[in-house]
Amino acid sequence: MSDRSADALATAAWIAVAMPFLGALLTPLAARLGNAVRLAVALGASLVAAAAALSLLPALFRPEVLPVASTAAWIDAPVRIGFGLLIDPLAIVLANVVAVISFLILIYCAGYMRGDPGATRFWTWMNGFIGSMLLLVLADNLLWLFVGWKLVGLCSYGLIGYYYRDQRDYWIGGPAPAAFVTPSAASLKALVTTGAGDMLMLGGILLVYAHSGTLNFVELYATAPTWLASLAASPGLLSLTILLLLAGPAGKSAQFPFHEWLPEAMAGPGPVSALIHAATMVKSGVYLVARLVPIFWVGLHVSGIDGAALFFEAIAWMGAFTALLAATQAMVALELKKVLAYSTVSQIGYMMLGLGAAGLAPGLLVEGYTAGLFHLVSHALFKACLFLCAGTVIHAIHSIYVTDMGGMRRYLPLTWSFLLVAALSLMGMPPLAGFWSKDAVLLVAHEASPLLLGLGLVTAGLTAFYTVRMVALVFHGPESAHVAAARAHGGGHLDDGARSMRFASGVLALLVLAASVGAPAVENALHHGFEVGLDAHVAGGVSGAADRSDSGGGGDPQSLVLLLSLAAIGAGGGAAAWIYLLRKRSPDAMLAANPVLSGLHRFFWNRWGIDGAYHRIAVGGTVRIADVVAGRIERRLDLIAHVWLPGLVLNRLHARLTRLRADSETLADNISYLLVLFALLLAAILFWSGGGGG
Amino acid sequence: MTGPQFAPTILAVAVPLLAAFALPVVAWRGRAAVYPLTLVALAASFVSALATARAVVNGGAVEYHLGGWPPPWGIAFRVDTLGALMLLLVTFIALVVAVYARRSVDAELPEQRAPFYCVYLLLAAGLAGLVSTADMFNLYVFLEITSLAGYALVSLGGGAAVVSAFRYLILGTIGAAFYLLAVGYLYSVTGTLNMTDLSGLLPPLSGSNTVLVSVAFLVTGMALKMGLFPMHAWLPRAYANAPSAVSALLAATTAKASAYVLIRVLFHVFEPRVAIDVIPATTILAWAAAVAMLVGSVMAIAQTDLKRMLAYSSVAQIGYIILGVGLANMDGFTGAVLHLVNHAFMKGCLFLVAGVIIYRTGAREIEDLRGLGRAMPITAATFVLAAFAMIGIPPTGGFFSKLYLLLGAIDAGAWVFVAVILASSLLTVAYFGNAIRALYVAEAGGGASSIPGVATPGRTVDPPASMLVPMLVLAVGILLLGFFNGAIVSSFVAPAVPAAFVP
Repeated sequence: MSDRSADALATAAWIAVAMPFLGALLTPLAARLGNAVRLAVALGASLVAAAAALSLLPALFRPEVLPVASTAAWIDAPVRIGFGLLIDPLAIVLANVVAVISFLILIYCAGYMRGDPGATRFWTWMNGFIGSMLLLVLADNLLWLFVGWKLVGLCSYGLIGYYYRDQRDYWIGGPAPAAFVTPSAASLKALVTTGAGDMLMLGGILLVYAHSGTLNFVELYATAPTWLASLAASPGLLSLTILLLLAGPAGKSAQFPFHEWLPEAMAGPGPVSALIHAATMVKSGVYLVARLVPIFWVGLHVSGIDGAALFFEAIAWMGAFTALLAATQAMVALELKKVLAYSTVSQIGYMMLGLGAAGLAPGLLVEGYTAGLFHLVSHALFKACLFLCAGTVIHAIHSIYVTDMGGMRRYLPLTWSFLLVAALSLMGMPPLAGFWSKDAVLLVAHEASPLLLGLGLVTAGLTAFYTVRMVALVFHGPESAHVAAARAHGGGHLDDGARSMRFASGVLALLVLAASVGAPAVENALHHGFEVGLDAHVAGGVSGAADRSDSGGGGDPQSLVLLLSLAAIGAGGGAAAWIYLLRKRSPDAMLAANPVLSGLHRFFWNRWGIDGAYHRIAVGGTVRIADVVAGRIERRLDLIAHVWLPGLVLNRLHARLTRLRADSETLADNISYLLVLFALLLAAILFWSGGGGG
Repeated sequence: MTGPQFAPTILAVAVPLLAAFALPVVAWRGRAAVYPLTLVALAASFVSALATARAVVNGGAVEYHLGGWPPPWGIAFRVDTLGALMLLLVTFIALVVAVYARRSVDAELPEQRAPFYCVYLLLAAGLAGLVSTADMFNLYVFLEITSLAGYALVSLGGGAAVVSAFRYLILGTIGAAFYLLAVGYLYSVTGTLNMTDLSGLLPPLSGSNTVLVSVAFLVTGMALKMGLFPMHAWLPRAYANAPSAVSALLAATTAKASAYVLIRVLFHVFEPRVAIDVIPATTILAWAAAVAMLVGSVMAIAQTDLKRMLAYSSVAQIGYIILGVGLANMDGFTGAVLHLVNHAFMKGCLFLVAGVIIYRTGAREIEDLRGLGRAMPITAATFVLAAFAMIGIPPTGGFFSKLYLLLGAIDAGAWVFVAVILASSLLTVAYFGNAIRALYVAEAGGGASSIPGVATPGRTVDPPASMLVPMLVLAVGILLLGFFNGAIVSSFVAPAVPAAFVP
């Protein structure tokens, strides 16, 4: 019985991975049959994948049947390279987040992309992305995870640069005098930045492989104490491996110091930002960290390898710092989607913080793990919804700046209500899903370190501030000149968008509400699922290692954290409401009056100077050495590859060979070579058998 | 299969042979029946080969004693797994190329259809006999049937082909004479010609100079027959000048059959240690092969004629096969046999593509391929697939056989050969890259209309189905050989690995 259910799970997982790829392959063919067929194929593939992923969900409530591994040999002989799927609670949660949200977003796209001349390319990339992402979260070893990892990066590149002709309409950045960025430049920035992290991670994977001899997760878990000890034996090697491994997730999930690509990634179409740069791909870093957590937890708390603590410390501090860093930038951003992008970076910081805290104290594993991933799920829902709504707004008003909006609640009432639900969830307003998940993260942060909690609380306040600011600037207050102009122009577009767009955002808003109502139940289910799942992966079991230590000491930590976080939200949200909603003070006047405030504003607006520094080093530096490389190095290499080597092969070697006359036209030459070989063999016989006495 | 007289074995040989005899009579009655008869005979031969292979895989080697005379007096046919694989290969390629040949021959040799198919059938019969016989002298007979038919087919090309065929004839005959001498020496010391018998009688004689000289004759003769460097001079000219269908058939099968004979005799008739330790024949072969891989590739880069480039590439690829033989270990042996099969498909496919291009546009020079990626999309794509297989890009079959060869070289500790395999693969990229660049990247001289044979720009001129399908069948075969390489190795190659190689 359990065998059969395991088989069913495995089949569903294979279908989920295979269908989107199939869809991606068939889309260009279907496009020849017409737009309706193309749409049906693209949506159908995603629907099947979503259904297959959903069918995995019941197993989350019976985690005893997990993990299920299903392997097929990719190359069997002469060397065996396996390819398989691993279905455990973590994979199921992620697969559902990916497949279900993607399907909803594809429905939205049906309206959003209608009539776009490059739509075939769009649907192919999208389905390719979904398949790659499912491969990433379901793969049972690091090699195939890496394949999926690079494929999602590639699809992301293709979709950020979707408007690769770089028409003026699709530029982001600005407004003048700030610099603009074209979509193709933005996609390149994303590819290069994440690629740098990926290459470092590949180094880490190779180090792991060199010491463990396997890349399969289950085997890595089982043998973790051995190979971690072997890594720890060489000084600095374990730390190096950890940092290399974390570079990949930091790049993909846009965490400091690799966070600068995500704001520019907003150059892609709206739903792309929703799918890839909010709900799914940027979570793959969180996913990989969660995959690795059991390994280092065992190393630290069971085998007592102190070096493994770096893994958790690095994630927790990276996450907490990034959360703060990005939230400050969201406060001053003028582009609607950039507010959301900074917010995504910041929220992923929370997830990392939760996962990092999981290892900072022995008893926190399951709590921290659950908190990080619960926040991942709730964030995926509300951020996807926010992005879809933002897409609708931008679609309607034809501007990316919040200053060009205002008072739009009247024209986009549905979008306003959907966005409000999601925004309140983002702020962490009780009783919405975001409140529960953020609270869970803050609680484990509190138990790990007061400073981490402090960073988390400040960020919570900032989050409330920028969320209220965004909602107020877009939907409330007086209409901007731009809105008035659009309305005067006929206002044909100034509405909630196509039916499929309204439908998808609405469903996501409803899902946010559902997740809010059921939040405690969801959290419990995740907690139980992960507890059993981690137990299976952790040698010796979770509970066996350490009992949960109540480090709170005096008082009830839960209510303390709750109060503090509500206070932070109140302070941040209140300040923003006072300025932007109630319009008590003009923000410009405040900046002009207070040099400290305007200095901070400039600092945040310039992205803490990090982006500029990167640009100077990476782009400016490259430009500066370009001449040297081109003139001194490339030209010489070119000479070797295009003149010297071909000359060697074509003229010298060929002439020599011809002079050898092995290739001669003369029959006598041919025959003499024959005799050479024969004579050689005879000589060999005489030489060897003479001694042998034949 | 324990009982003798397994009929399909002999049918695979006898049907095309008898059809070849009947064909002139049929042609005299009416030309129309010639081609169908050829196809039916080759199809029957292939079906017999399938039946044989099935029996062999399920129940072990099968035998047929000609005329009911038991060995060692009569002529025996014996097919084991290795033989079955070869039998399948040669009958299949002969059939596929025959399907392709109809239009190609109509275009290139309109006056010589009947002679062509008659000789073609003889060649097919010779090949099938070559790989299924268990008698050393009978093998010589089939070798000569194959070779003589090959000379005749090459000479049908006319012009330069006649000269090439003459050179091929002289050198081939010398090679056959070497083989015959080797057999004669063996007969003089053992008094038997049956392979099974010989393998029982030879071990105590392995010190005898007569036997050792016989090995030397044999290796030399077969090396010449397959065009191993430095005795390859006949090969590029013969392949390049022959009619298209003939190039494909010869490149895919005849050299392979000679390689098979070498493997069979060195490792199954003799004890492997004779060619490895008693005299270092395998070492000499391996070094000659290594040089062939580099020289063949360099020469291929220097060619401007597509078919000549493919022919030189064959010189290099035969080097791969013989390198596997020379490595004389399990992975090397597996790689050699697998590469033999892969190369038959790859090179057969490439020559078919070259023939199609000649058929449609008359282009023979690589530079003339410019723009054909658009004008003949399917043909060009097939070319690219086969080229990728030659380079060894997974998941094509070529990747796996090269992988086995690499593992074999590593296993033997022969890092020089590892380097040679990799270097030769790089050179392969160079010469196929050149052709692919011409197909897709380079602009056609003065617009698409300048491509000979393409009247309207923008129209595709992929060949008619009877040429396209054989080409695609081989292309799909290249992929299938990759996907099912594990099955092929375990059911056909592994059982034939000499016991001495099994670690």
